[in-house]
Amino acid sequence: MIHFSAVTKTYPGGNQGLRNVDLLIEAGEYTFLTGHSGAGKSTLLRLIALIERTSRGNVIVDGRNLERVPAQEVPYYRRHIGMIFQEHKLLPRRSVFENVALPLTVAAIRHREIRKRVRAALDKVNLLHKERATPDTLSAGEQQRVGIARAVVNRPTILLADEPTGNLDPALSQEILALFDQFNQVGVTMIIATHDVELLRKGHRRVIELKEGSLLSDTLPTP
Amino acid sequence: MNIRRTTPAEGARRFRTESVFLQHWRALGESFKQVDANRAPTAIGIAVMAVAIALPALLYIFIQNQHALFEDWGDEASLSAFLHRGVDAGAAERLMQQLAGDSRVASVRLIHRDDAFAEFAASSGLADIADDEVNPLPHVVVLVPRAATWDADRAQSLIAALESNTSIDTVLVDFAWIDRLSAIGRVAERAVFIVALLLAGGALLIVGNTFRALVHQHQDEIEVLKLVGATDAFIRRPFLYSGAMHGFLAGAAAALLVETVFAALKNPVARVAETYLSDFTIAGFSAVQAVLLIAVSCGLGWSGAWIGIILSLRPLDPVD
Repeated sequence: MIHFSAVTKTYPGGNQGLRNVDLLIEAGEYTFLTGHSGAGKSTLLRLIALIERTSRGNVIVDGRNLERVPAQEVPYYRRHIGMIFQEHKLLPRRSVFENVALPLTVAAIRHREIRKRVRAALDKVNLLHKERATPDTLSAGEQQRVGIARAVVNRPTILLADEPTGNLDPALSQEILALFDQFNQVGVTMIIATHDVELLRKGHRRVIELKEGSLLSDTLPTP
Repeated sequence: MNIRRTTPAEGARRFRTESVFLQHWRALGESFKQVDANRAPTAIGIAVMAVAIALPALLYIFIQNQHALFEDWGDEASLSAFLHRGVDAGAAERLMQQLAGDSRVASVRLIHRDDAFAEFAASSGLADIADDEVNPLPHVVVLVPRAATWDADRAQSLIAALESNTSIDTVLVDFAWIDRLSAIGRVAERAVFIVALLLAGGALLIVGNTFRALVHQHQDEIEVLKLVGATDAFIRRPFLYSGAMHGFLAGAAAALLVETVFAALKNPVARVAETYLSDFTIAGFSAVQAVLLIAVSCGLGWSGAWIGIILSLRPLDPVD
C-alpha cells in the first residue's frame, strides 16, 4: 500500500512539485497518473522511488515511512521497486543482457540465477534473441521493452513508469500496456504517469489527475 | 516495510547471493574494462604518476648511496688514543679489548710503542743510532668509530669516555669533516622526505583528478546503477581497483625508470671512484625496495581514486 499524507514538495527556487497531496494506492492496484507537463506526475513517482524526499508530509510504502529511511538504506529500498522511463535509461556500452541484469548484479545475485532470471524477463518482452545486441542497434519500442525487462527482472512489488509510451506508436503502446496488464495480474502494484489519452481510454483503470501539483480528480474505472 | 530483512514474496532476496570474493572479482573485471576503455588518459595519468614517484625514489637511492660512501670514508676517520708512558703492553692490550666491545667503535688496533719506535726509526733514517732503551713513544690505540658515531653528540661522548680513562693521556681526533658531511647528509635526507611528501601529495591529486573526470564521464551509468539499487560501495569498487591498477603500473614504471637512471650512472661513477682509489659503485633498487615502491604506489592510486570518487559521487546522489 502507498499512502501520501499531506505531501508537499517544493524545489529550490520555490517551484512546487506537489501541494498538500493526500492519496492512497492499494497493494496490487493499477493506477494511471495524468495531467499536463509540470502537474506533478514525475514528482509523485520520484517520491515513491525515494529519488527525492518530501518538503512536508509523509509517504508511507508498505507501512514504512519513507522520510525515515536513512540514506544508506535507500539502495536496498529501491531494489523492491521497478522503474521505467520514457528515455529508457539504458547503458549504451552494455549489451541487452547486461542492461537487464543490472538490478540483479548490484544485489550480488549469483550469476547462474541472473542468467535464468534475465532470460525469463527477456523472453517475457520477446527480446530473448537480442540479448547480445547493444541498445543503439534496437528500435525505440525494443529499447523500451528492454527497460521494462530490467524493471521487472528483480520481481518488484511496485512498478513505476514515467511516460512509458511517450515515444512509441499506438501499436507498440498497446503492446506495452498488455505487458503491464500481465505484471499487474501477478500482484504487482502499477503506477503509470502518462498524458497519452488513448492509453488512459484503453486502460480501464483508476486515473488520478494532477494539476499544478494538486490532486484534481481521482476516477475509478466503470465496471 | 523492513528494508533489510523482510523482502516482498516476489522480491530479489529470494535469490542466492554471491560471495564477497566473487563480488570483488567482478569489480576487478569492471576496472579492467574501465582502464581498457580509457587507454590514452590512463597512460598519461600513469606516466605523470610514475615520474612523481620516481623522483623521490631516485633521491632516496642517492641518499642510500651517499651512506655507503660515508661507510667507505669512515675507514679513514679514526681516533688515536695515546696512553700514558707508564702503561705496559698487557694493560694496553686489555684496554684495546675493552674498547673493541664498545658499540660505538667499529674497529680498534693497538700500535705497540716498540713497533712505533721501530717504524719511526726506519722512516726517519735514524735506525743506527736509535736506542730502544730510551724509546719516548707511548702505546697508541687507534679506533675507527662506527658510521652512526659521526653524529656530533655521540662522537663527543666517545671522546669524553676515552679522555676520562686513566690509562689514556691524549686523544687525537680527525673526523670533523665527516661530521659536517654527515650533517649535510641529514639535511639532504630531510629535504628528500619533504619532496617525497609533496610529490606523493601531487600524485594523489593527479589520480584524484583523473578519477573525478572518470566518474563524471560515467555519470549516466552511475545514475542508472543508483536507480536500480546499487550502493555507493558497489559503485566505488571498480574505480578503486582501477586506481590501484594505475598505482601498480605507475610504480612498476617508476622502478624501471630508477633502475635505468642508475644503470646509466653506474660506469661513470665507478670511473670517478677509481680516480680516488676507491672501489665504490653506485647501487640501484633492491628487490624488496622495488616491491615496496610498487606497493606504496598502489596505495597512492587507491587513495587518489577514493578522493576523486568521494568528491564527485556525492553530488550524483538523487536523494536530497
